[in-house]
Amino acid sequence: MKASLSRRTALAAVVATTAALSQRLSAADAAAKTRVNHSVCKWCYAKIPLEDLCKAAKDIGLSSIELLEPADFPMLKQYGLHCAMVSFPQKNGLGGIGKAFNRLEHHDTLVEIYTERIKQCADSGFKQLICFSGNRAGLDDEAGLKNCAAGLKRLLPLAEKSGITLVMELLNSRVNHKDYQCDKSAWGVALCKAIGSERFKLLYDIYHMQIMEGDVIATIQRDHQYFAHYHTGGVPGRNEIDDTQELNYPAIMRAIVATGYKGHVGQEFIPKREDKLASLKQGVKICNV
Amino acid sequence: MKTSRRSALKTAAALAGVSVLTSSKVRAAEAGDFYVAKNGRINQSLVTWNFRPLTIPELAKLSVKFGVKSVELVGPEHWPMLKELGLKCAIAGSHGFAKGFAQPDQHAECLKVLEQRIEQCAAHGVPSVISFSGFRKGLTVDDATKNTIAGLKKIAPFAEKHKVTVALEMLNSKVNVEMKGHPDYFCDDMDLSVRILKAVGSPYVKVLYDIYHVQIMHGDVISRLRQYKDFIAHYHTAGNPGRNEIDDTQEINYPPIMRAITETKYTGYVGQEFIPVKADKVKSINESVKLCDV
Repeated sequence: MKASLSRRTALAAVVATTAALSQRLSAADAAAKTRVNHSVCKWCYAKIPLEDLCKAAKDIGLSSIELLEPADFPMLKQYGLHCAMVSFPQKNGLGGIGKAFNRLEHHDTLVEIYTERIKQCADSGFKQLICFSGNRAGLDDEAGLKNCAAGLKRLLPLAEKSGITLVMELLNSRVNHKDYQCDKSAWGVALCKAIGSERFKLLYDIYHMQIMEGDVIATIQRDHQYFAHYHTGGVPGRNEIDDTQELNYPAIMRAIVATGYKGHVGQEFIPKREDKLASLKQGVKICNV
Repeated sequence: MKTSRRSALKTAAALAGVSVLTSSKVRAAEAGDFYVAKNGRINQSLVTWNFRPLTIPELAKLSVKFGVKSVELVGPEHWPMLKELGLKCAIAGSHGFAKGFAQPDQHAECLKVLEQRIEQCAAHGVPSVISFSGFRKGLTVDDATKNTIAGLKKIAPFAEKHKVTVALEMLNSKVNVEMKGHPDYFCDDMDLSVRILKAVGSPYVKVLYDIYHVQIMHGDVISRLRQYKDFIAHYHTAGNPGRNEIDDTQEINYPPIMRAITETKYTGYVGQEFIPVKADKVKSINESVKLCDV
């Protein structure tokens, strides 16, 4: 009798503790949901219409679809989604990855098309606009840096006035973008320092930088004030960011959160598996630390 | 079946307050659940300096228990004890990393140590011995490269004759914290290391691919180990940043790297060389063994 009573008391205590614990856990879950703002790059889901991706984004818990053109903005707004990184403008073959700010002779065209794009961003309320260095094509890194700084400085008064950040992407030149100049974080940081404006920063693409230099968390801890945005991708292969590849994304996400980063993390892997949206959902889950 | 018996024992032990009575962490692990490497695709090994104050005999006993096949970078005086326990020494220590073949005036000393150690390795079935470039000390990369090639060429015929592989370790020169990085260490680049090995041209002079150091200096760990598989004599592990546990607190995802190593048909060893930061070092060792047993 006595024993069974005390057993009952013990059980009650266990139940109470479990209930309290599960309440705490669900509170922790809710907090965790706001620690990383999730975004996805549209081009990785080329066969999925934007509207379908918008619907999927809402289901999965993404608040942004990125690398989109101004023509896509109304659809995003219809679904209450953000565009964490606006795509680049192009004219006469200039503005894309291979031919951009590292050549003085590109600057007049780039200033013209970026001026228009900055205004479109300002009108839409989407605050970050991607840009590129271009390929070296024989140009040394010091000259490339000087040229980039000169071209970008022509746009910064407007960017500053409009509250739009120009964000140069760090890409790998080992596998995907041979000869691309902005391929090391140290070079990008030096460019940020040369420009000296809060409205020019870098896109630290974790996939590209793992291929070029590794030491991801230490780099983020050291240079995060120059990083306005992050992209993901599995290494090697740029596929799912799960246990099939060498980066431990949750640890990297925790390091990003610890820097006080409030922006979005854009999933930019190319799903290898049949169910691409399931892969996207998995990617978001992995990064939702 | 085994698991339930283990968990039953664990519960019983907890009820009896056995854990309070155990004197060492080794015994605490014995009383609880632990993982035994069973897949046999990665031959695991324990480096010892990083697990202090655990002693070499204690680490040897843990190796037996966890299915680890080797205790490494220990001197010949420990080899009979390892043999008795059925363990190998995957790689022998030699001259330290502060001296090496980048400096011509250190060649004689390094060669003397290596020759003696190679003879001992051959006699005891130890397959490889470590070597280093040493520091650059103001030399140009070209000069240091030439010196390192010349030094390794001197030891290569001796290594070939005894069928013992000399493994040149690449270390990171970025992290300026004692035993976590080695500023001014010359051989801090995998491409450079392999260029040196190609110039030496011996199947018994290879590189030690330390995943931690490679991640700090280069990244792209899996692509590189595939690219350089024919030049790799040995692997080391550790978490980055920090050189601590290799678990999910750090950026390197070890299981897929281990799977990539097995795909290269690698038959050597992987040495655990992380510095545990958690209080229960034995548990950290066991968890790392599990992560690498792919």
